[in-house]
Amino acid sequence: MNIVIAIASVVAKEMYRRKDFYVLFVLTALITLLAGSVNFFGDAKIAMYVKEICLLLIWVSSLVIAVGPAARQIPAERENRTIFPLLAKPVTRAQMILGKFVGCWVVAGFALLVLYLFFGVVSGLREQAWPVAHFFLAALLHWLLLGIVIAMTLLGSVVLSAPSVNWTVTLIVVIGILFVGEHLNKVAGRLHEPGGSMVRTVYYLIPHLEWFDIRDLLIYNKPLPPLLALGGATVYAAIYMAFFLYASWLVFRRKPLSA
Amino acid sequence: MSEIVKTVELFVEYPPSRSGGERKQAVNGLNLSVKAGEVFGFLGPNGAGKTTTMNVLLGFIQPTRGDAFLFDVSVREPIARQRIGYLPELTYYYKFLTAEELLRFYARIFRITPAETERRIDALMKLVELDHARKRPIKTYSKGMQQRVGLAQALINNPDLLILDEPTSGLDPLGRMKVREIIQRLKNEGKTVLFSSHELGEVETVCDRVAIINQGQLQIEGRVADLVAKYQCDLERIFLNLIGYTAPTVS
Amino acid sequence: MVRPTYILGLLLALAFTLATGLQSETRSWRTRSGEGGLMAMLFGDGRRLFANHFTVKADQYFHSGYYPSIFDQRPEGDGEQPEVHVHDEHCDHENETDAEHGGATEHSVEACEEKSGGWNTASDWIAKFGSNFRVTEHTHLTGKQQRELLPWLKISAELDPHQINTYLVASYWLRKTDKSAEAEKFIREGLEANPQDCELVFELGQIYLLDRKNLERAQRLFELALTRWDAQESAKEKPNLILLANIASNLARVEETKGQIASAISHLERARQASPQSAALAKQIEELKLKLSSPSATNSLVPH
Repeated sequence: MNIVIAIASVVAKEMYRRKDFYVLFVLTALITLLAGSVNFFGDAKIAMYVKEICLLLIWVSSLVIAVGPAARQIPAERENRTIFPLLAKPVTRAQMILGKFVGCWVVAGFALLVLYLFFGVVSGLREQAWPVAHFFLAALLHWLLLGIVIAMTLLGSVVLSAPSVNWTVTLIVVIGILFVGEHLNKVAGRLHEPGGSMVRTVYYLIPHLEWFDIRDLLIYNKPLPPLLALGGATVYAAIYMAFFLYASWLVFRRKPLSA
Repeated sequence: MSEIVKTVELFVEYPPSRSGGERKQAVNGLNLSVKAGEVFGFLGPNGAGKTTTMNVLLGFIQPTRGDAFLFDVSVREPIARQRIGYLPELTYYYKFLTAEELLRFYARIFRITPAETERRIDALMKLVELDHARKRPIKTYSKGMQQRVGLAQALINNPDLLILDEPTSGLDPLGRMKVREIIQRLKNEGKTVLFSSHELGEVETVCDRVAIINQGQLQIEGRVADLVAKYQCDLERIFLNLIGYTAPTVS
Repeated sequence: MVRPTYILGLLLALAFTLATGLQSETRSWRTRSGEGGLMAMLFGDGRRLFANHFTVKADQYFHSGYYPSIFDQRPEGDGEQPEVHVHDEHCDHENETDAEHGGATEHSVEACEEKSGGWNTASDWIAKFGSNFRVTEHTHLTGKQQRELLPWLKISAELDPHQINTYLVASYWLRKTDKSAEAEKFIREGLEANPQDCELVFELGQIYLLDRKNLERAQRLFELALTRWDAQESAKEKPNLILLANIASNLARVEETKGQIASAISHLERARQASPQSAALAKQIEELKLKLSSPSATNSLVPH
């Protein structure tokens, strides 16, 4: 575990020294404040659209913060040859993958904390209400989603050679699942065989990331999901994270590295 | 004297680079042993299989057949690398870290205590003459400075075996002398050093034993003095003869 | 050797001179001249594609996020389709009477649910579990919350200023949230973009009648709307009869308020011919005729 944490801390150092997060946060804040400053029909108390825009920006930023660094971790180590002095130490490839994952996930978590804090302030000032539990839960579910996405990206990074290809593929898959994933069963019902069965299989296999997106509950001030459902979603996320990380290790452990 | 490094009928084949091509035999039944406390030179022309052998010893690639051991532990076990230090030929380290942070990171992998880590960092920075630049990011270092950081990270765990791949490559004469001094110092401390080099003069000066490989096979192995006495010529001539080099005749 | 800064300065001066000279020449090249606002400049005519999205967004907001996706709409020929429900001034859920609606039926959450055909039934465990994380309760925004629709309607109107319905819906909700001045302003913006439209004129008339209580102005606007309806709609194969019924009903109401019963009857007759609620209007006409024929009536016998 010590080695995993050591590798994770180096990942975290890299991420906060690269300053990607600061740029994204500033952009998110600027656009949100701009949107909030627009006067619609002389009513300064309209809040939902500001919340929606802010949450959309948070989601976009968080995906960039998660996928970008995760996509380049292992390819950059190989390209920069920093992988050799690392693996020449008593470090297993599993520890390396786990360390990279933990580093990316923890930093993404901190980024989410800051972004949701900003969202909470903006939303609270508009609505004069501070449903802290809602914000916290939304951030937590969002973080779990990012865990799945980061693990998926790490798998892509050991399978695909170029980080840019991995980045693109992962984002398309994630956005596709968020928009269309929950509806695939309905689509399957309208297709002829074997298309219907194939789509249905995909429906059951893909990680249902839309469960972790409770923006609508935040925007429309709806009640929180029940605790049992939250627990189930957490276990579900853990299973998919473990699946992608294990698959990454299976692919990576046999990859020859030539110094 | 115990064998610190041992390869047993080591074969490494690479798959063909294109369909219909032949598999490349990089290492062909290599039996190598390095004894404790000696400085061992690993020589061969480009493409002979030196780097491949080192990659197997370091666990970067799996042998096709045979096995390799470090301190009698199979190289497939990560624990085999607990007591080794490795300096790659091309030295690249995390550019966003300072030299201090890099050494601290590697020390943490070896579970060295924080107090001991700081003590070692101080000593190593002085040894490799980077004390003045220890808090600067590595991306601001020259090639020579990066090579010295590499040496420092190879020594952070006070290794019993140091594996150096072309340690003097790209260094100026002063740098090369410093490396030789460090190798000698390690030898005096009873450490084992395995290094590959093209600088045969250097090898002759520093090494106790050498092995010369060509086309993946061990051609010759023995004490430098014994080989020179046996073949009645210097190490360079022995090397050239073994790899089949004949000088062009002048008509 | 000339200093580099002098050369840079000279080049900048040259560029500036050229720009001032070419400015008027290039006007003819440019199709997006900045007129039509920021959206028009950024997106050109492509902005119209997004306008409908924002109108649907407003409807989604009205339903507090309980809204079918495109996958929940069954293909044609597959029985009754769940409708994407766009609320307009005919779909009030609370206080307005049927007369103000021009006879449209009241629209409750239950009716809305029934009309949409139960699209939100979960068919498998994934959908059932996923329903914990999305909005599953069908509610409508009420009271002050209704203002939350407005930004999307405003953006939709910016993107496509020729979508009349956007102005009408926004005006309705602005009036419901006590912003009739803003509603009037918005309708006038719509009229600037669509100067000949009769619905917008009618809506303006509604504002003057119901909110400003200015009968004279409301009457002039209703008459203008009727004139425009006659000019634009009457020749069509399927004219907008509901609109005609609304205009005529409201004109009748104004005339009745002013005591011009005969004129009121005349307008109601026209409304009755066009309206699906002809029975209710017939009843109203009878009542007015009774009123007209009573000895205490002070109105003119000659229709206006």
